[in-house]
Amino acid sequence: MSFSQSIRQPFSIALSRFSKYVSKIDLILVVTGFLLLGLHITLDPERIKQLIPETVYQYRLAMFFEPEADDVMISTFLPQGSDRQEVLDEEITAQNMNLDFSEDINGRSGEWSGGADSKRIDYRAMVTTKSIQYEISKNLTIPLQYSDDLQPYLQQTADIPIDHPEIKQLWSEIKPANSRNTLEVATAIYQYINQEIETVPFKGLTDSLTTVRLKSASCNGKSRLFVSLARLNNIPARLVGGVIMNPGRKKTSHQWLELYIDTHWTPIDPTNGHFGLLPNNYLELYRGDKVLFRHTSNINFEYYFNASNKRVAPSLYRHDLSNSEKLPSAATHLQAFGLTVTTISLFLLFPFCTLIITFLRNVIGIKTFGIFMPMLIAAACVFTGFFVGMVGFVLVLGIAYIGHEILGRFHILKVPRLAAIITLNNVLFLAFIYIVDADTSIEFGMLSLFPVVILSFVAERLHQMTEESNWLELFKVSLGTLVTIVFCYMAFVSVLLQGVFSLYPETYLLVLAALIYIGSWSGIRISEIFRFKSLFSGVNGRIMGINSRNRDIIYPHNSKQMLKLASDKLDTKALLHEYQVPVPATLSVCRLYKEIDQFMASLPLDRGFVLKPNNGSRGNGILVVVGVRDGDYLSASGDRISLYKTRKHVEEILSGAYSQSGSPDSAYIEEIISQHRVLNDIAPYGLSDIRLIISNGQLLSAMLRVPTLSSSGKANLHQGAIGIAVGLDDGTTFRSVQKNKVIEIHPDSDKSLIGISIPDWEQIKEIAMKCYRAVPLGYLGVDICLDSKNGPVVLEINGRPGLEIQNVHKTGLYNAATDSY
Amino acid sequence: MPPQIPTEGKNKLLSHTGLPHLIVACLILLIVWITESVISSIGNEAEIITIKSELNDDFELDIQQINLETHLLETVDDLLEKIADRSHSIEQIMNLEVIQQLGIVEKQQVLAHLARSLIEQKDYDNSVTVLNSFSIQDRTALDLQFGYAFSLSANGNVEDAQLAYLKVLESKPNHQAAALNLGLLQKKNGQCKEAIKLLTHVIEISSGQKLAKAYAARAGCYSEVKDHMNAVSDYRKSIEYRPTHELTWRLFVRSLGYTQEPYDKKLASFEKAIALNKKHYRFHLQKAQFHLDHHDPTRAIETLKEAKSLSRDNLEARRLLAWAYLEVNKRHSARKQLRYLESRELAKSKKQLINYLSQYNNKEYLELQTILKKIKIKSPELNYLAALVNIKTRYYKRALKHLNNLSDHPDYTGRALVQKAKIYRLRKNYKTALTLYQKATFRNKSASAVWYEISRIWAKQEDYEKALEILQQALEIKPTERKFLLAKGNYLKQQNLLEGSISVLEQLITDHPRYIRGYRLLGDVYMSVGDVDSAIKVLEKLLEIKPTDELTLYQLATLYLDKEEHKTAQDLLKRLLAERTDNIDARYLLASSYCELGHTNACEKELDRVLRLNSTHSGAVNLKQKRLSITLLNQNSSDGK
Repeated sequence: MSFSQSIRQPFSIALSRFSKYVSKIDLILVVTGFLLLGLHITLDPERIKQLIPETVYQYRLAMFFEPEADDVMISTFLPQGSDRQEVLDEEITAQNMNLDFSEDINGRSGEWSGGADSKRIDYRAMVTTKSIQYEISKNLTIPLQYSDDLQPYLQQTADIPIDHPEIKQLWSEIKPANSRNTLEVATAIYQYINQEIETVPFKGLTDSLTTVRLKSASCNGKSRLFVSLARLNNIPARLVGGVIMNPGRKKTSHQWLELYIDTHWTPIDPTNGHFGLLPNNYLELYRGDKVLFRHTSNINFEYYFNASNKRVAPSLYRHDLSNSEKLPSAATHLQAFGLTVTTISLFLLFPFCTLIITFLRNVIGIKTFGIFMPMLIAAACVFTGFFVGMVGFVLVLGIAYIGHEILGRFHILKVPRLAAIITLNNVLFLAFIYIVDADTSIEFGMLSLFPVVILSFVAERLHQMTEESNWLELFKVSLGTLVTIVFCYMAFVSVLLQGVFSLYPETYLLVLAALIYIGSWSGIRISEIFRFKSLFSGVNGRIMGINSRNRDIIYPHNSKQMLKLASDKLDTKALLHEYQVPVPATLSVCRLYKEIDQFMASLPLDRGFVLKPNNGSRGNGILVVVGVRDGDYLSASGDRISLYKTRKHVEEILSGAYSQSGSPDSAYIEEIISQHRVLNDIAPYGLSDIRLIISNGQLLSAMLRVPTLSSSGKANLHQGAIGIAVGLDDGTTFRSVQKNKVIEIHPDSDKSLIGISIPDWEQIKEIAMKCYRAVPLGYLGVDICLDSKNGPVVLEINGRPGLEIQNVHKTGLYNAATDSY
Repeated sequence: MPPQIPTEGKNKLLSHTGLPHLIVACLILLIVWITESVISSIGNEAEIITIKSELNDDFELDIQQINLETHLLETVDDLLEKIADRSHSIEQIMNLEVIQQLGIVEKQQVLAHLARSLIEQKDYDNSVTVLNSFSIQDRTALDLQFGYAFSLSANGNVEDAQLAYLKVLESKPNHQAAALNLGLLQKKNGQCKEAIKLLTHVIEISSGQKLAKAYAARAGCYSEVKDHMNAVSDYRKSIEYRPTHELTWRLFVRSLGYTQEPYDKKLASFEKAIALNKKHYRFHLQKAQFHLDHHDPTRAIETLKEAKSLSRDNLEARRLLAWAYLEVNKRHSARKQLRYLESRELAKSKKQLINYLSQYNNKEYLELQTILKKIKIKSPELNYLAALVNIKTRYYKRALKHLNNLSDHPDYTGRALVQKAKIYRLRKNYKTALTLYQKATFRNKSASAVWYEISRIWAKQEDYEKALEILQQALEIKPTERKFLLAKGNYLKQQNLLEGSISVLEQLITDHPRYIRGYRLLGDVYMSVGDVDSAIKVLEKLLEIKPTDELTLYQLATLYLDKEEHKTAQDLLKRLLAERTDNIDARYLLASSYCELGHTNACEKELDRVLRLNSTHSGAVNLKQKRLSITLLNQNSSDGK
């Protein structure tokens, strides 16, 4: 072997082993994705720093007033950029007012002027700040001279006296050992003011002298005193005004000061105990001994500040042109279309959330209401906040559920019922808006309103489940939905993920690769480990899970046309009839609303019948009428059903309420089956059936499904019916299971379930094979009943037969099914 | 084919189920969570800025303690404690019995020791009070005079401190620390001449750190008196002894900017200074200005990109970046910066400047000129912009006036120089233009754009040999710059060195396959050598890039006509005329082609159109007359029959 071969060989082996599990498309996507990512990082290494989140503050100032005359003026300081803060965006709303900006050494101010019809000014800004800690060296001496521009910061004013005897007296008491040392002087003043001067919430202006005398002051008094003492010691000092952006609403601004120390304006806040440090949430608005607001008098001026903050991915907020010269972030492009930042962040994370949902569904086996509905709910929660969103979710769902319940009693048809519920939810939402303050931080975007519609559908499914009393299933699905919502929400609010997908859109290739991989994976879901746990011990044949059934068996071998045929019971029956397969006789069919009268007239009044939807599944929508009493029908469960209700049921069927696809359906009635004595003895309630599984013309497995009282007379294993394994050779039962527990006696009839010989077993097998020939699905389940008069009759053909038969037989079907090909 | 899963009968938890995937998913989740936690905490840290004592470090402290007897030491310690807890004022302490009862010598020793300790503790107020109790002679004798002078200066008593230092130097003329400190005080006090003299003496007698400080101080004085050459020299020397002193580097490069030192040397100094503190935003801006003014906009752009990331409020960097992009004619990039500034810039004056720059960028020269005429232009930026606008609108005198306002401005000297040179070139005053450009090359020998301009001037004077020689300088700096290569091709062509020209231009279009001017020139050269086929090939390629280029279509048509390929030529001319129906020459050519082929009607039609556009088109008129006479001749001959 040559050298190059010896290098290549291990890679080839690894690759060939790897390719058993990963398709070529996946490999290409992954390799391309990583290559592009690597290139991107290499060519623009600075970009990765944008993954570090930053805190963005939403600062809001609302001003209200009632001008009497036509001449109102309001002026205030607005945030501006500096070394420690940056205004990312601002928005000003002031109807019927003119706005002028001006800027000087004190700051940037906005001046509004208007007339009698001006009432309100709203200012919003998005600001980022950084915290700077100034460390003053111990051996700095206070300079003797300063340049001219610093002279104003050494002068005394009416409110900031320097030469007053009381100020000097105070200084003589507190001055440090070395009164020429900058740090010592600043520290001495700071310690005195911070510890000895009590903080009290004085509303107005307090000058230094008053502060000295009262030994108490608010922030402006304390800061003024500090400035007095600093200037006394020839340290230039100035007041700074602003707002502390703690979340929530308030009316108070704040004042602190800055000392000029060796070219640095060093911040000090003696009120809140910050020396040389300005925390992140301090927003500077002005410098100097100024007032924050100036306005025309007698206008009942009111105002408040509101602040909130969040950690964000900088790439969503910054459209730094250093990026655009190489490759703009995805967020930059999306912003150009006018999308808000929240919407952009959701958009960027949608593919990743679909991956989460796919993983939870296909690998874990979590069921939810609607496949991608949890993602939409999570998206709504991003706008409203998780708690508010979940409360809203439960409320909307609850209202929709109640709506279904109430409207269902009036027998309102499905589509109008759904529309009515959507309307109801909208009305209630409007009412909510009226109640909620517009200043609330709850954000409503399209994505928070859209799920209202989706939830109306979900509520219908929920309603159905409660009607079926399928509480366990309801609980599982609800829990699964909640878990999925939580994961999706966490992904949506992940600043790291937002940054990654915005800055490195090539990572979508990796997401796509993961989706394709999961789609190609046909292993057993985690939930199926519990479902089929008995099959994991011993050698019981490979389990066929939902993934492997769908991907390895049904997709390749069951064509769509045949599946469609199998779901159409009337067409299937007609075809089976041609193949001389016995089926229950169809008495009447109703395909359109205009045929309802005729159909109702055809209903037997002297005997029982079964009313069925053509495209139904799992027994949903089937009405078994066993007799008539006083003009009403009697159902198999003993309920009296009026003609009117029966008609409504037919209308429901026609509207597609029980259809697998949800689209309009046909209703039909067929002869009621009188069960064979053998089976009747075991379970007189409901109709037992025999399910046979055929794969590529080979009979693989068979089970007898026997209803119980707990299954409400239905032969549905998930609802409590008993599954009894039947031997293929002799048709004798040998093992029975109810809800994964092995039993031997029927819980209602106390009859033994083992050793039962199924009558006409060979005929049953032959009928099953005929069904295969008539409807050549590669993998199918045939449900056969035993009629006491007519013998075996085929109830239906199932193109996606369930998997519980494996638990009943305690044998996995995978190998048998794949080997049949 | 689905992926093959092993077909054993046993169900394996790990290989058959989603467990491994769940584990991997959990790992990924963990990694994401940890990374998110880590990066969240990174952003929360406060940036630390240390305010160091820079100027005060320059002062020397030269205090030596003398050994005292133990009991006296204890006394001193007691006194220091009393001072520290403020139970006594310094005057009270000096009058304490424990002091008063000491003998004169012991008292002096104790007070001297006390004073020295107070100085060490930086309690200069009290140290001055203590030392005041000594006479000058006693202080001198006890070696306390230096400490006294030091305390006075630290206390802000500059004049007394100076006198005190002089006293030290009287008795000890070579006292390095005293001389240095006095020099520093004089410098601080604005007495630069005296300071220079004294610091020169310090330099002679000092070494090590003191020497570095002395050089730095003297350099500062030289800067004050605008003797930048000496300032630079002294800063250099100071750096030799104190290579990590950031302030000295900063002051050094600032002074360097005023000198005629070579560009590379200045740049190297800038790089070193930045290396000491890479996060210094202003310094990056300074360097970028330096590049701009030394005709190196490319480097300015690189520097400004770095600067942008150093400060949140990086508008100044962006403004400079916009200027830099305008210098290199990258209008699109400039527009991006200006758009950003338009939305962010809050200061009125700066906002106005941005608007003006945007107008300039959008080539709205006349409108901008009108605006600038009406306002008072004070800032150097506006002056420079006004000069540029006036150059564009050919108001050279006004432009020169604005440029003259900038001659002494340290950030605009070079740029003003180059623009002046450009004006003289445009006025065809090549001699003056050359002189000014040469000055620019002295400032920066690597200014390839300047070399290129010089070569253009020689070319204008038709001295292509010289032009080529100068252009070589530019090509050595930027060998792949397409503008330069095009010029080289042109100069070679002009010198009839057509083979060489072809070789250069062929390489040019290979390296820059969409460079239209390269194709055009190459086409011209091929046509000059009579290589029609190659010319056609080149022009066809050009047409692929710019399918509607009139000149190319016309040239190609002409060439095809020369080759008698009328159909092709006609198609090209029709294409041209579809773009520009009023192109008379093309129409005439088409008419000629039709005539040659004998397509009379078409020929007549086109000729009529030409004459409608220009009734006096000689070619059309002649051809028309020729056709008429042929027609008459034919008519006559047929009549004759």
